[in-house]
Amino acid sequence: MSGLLLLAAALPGLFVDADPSPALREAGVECVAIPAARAEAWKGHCATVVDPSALTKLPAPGVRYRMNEARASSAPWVDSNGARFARGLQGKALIASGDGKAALAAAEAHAFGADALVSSGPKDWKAFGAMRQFLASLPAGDLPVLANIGFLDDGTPVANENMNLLLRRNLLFRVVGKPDAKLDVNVKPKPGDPSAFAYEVRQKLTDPKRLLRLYGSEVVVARLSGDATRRRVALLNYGNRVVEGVRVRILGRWPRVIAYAFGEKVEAADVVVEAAATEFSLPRVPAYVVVDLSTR
Amino acid sequence: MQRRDFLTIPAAAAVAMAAPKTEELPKYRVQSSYAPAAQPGMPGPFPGRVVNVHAANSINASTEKVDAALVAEMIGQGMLALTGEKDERTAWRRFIQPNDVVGIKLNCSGAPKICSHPVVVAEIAKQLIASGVAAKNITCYERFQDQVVSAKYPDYLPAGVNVWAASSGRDAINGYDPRTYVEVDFFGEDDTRSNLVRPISERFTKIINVPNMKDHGASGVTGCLKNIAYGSFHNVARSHRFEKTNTFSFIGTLAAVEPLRSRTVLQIMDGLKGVWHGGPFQHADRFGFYPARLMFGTDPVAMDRLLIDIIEEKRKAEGAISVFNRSTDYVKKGDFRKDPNTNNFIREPGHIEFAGGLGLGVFDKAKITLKEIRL
Repeated sequence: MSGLLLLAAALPGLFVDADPSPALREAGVECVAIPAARAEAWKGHCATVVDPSALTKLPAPGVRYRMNEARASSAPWVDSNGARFARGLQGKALIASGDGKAALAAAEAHAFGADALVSSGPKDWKAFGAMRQFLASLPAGDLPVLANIGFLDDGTPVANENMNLLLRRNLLFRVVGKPDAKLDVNVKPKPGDPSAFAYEVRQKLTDPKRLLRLYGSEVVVARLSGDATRRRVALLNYGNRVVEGVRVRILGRWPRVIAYAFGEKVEAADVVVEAAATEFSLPRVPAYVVVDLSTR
Repeated sequence: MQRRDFLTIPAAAAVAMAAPKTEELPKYRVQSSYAPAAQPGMPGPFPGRVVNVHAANSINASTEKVDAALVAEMIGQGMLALTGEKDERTAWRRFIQPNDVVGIKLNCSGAPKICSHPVVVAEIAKQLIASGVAAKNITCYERFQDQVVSAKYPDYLPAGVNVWAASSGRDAINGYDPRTYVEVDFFGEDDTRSNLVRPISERFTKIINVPNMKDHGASGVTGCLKNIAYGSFHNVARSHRFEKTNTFSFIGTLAAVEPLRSRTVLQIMDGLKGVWHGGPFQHADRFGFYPARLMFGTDPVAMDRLLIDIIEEKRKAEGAISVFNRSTDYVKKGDFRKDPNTNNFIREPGHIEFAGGLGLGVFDKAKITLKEIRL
């Protein structure tokens, strides 16, 4: 395992292509980013003009259940920007949020330490504001990102899809320019079935070596950061509803487990600390849960 | 009442099962901190013994109305015949004491068309209460809430008896014990654990299994073993995602996990109504049939071995292919829900013999004793 990147503490901002509205203040959003065309209307308000064309545009995160589609797997299709964040963005991201996805988009950017704006309409301002307040309330967590796998990204769409599947299977990776001996496995992009690729990588790594495992949901994606005395698990629920229970396994002994959940109180349950690993359950997983573990 | 003495059934002609070889089986890792009881409930005190109580008037094949009084008598007679006791209270106490906390494992996967009949379940609960168990200490359980609700058990059960489902959603794991599970990687799925229904390890001291008499597209038939195994663990459908399933070994492996194996002390198979094709569901009315019987035992393997014959005989009478037919010529070549000569998977009725090999009961028909009772 190896950790080089620190998860940035910057909170995602809100991009608004609309005139000032009391609804924003009611949503707890004090400052926004706006296009130049709105500058006049926002005079006297806390607003920063940005040029959308200079930002890296990303789609809304979410899930497609594909109930009526013939397919090789019954797993829902998670639409995550994680692979794009892992690859590294040119400048700030502008994430489309669509109806109901602003909170998840903000959480995703936070989990991946991305510098991002979330573009959202009035329907989503309240959810965005609530998520931003939740993110701001979290204890500091600037810890190195942890991974088992080094991924030699060649910048191709194949590599992007490979990373997508590693991410969806919670096979923790980071992009490397050359093989990193400190990581358990280093892999190159491989064309073909990305799901088969992910399984091949998993077999090379082997499950017992995985720094993190998740049981009970196919729509929750985890990020892990940590140092010698702490671990932080960020859990993103890409589904359309609260997940009723996940079990998390983290390598190492971490007897102190504290969960912070977006929008509700969730406590870690059934904590089991063994020599090799620590396990705990979260009875509910809303859009975003952060769990801090420590040695004491 | 017509009663015949215990019969020893002659061994049937060998059936070609072409089951998977041992070396082909998935690698299972069982995680459980529970030690087996001195005498595990399966196969229990009566390995190889099965009592079959048939009452032609127990169910009306036209209306599906069940005669509750007759069912009560069937259960009473079945318990006496199984145990050899003279009174029902003593017969029940061979398995369950007044201070026990009892789980009744329902079968609701095909509910409401086919399920452990509420009249049968209610009568079991009544007889448990009569034997001294407090109603509040009886819980009828199943995995999925929507299925349980559709069967309307509370309308039939004695006051105070609980009905409980492990999860309200398909992917919910809160109702399962995080410390007791079977871990296996069938096809590269990331969630490799199947956890035990939580009250089995944390609350129930005894379990009564009440399966139906059903055909099953993946396992060949579904009776005692599959109901107690797949109905007591999470994340089991992954075993039959592809044409070649892992039901052959997974069912017995799960059923043998402690404390499930030790605490499941009685099997009462509800065969008032059965399904001879398309199970565990009843996709078409014509796939339902009415054996009008209940089977009793402590040995799930012996009971399921007899179930194979019941389903096979009915399928033969209906002109359907055998449950032992493993030819891929029939797999997904038509609409399984309509055509009894189409299989959804390669069926694995050999899962019963496999479970016998794990010590869960007697598979060899020559060693099974069947007591027939007709009411």
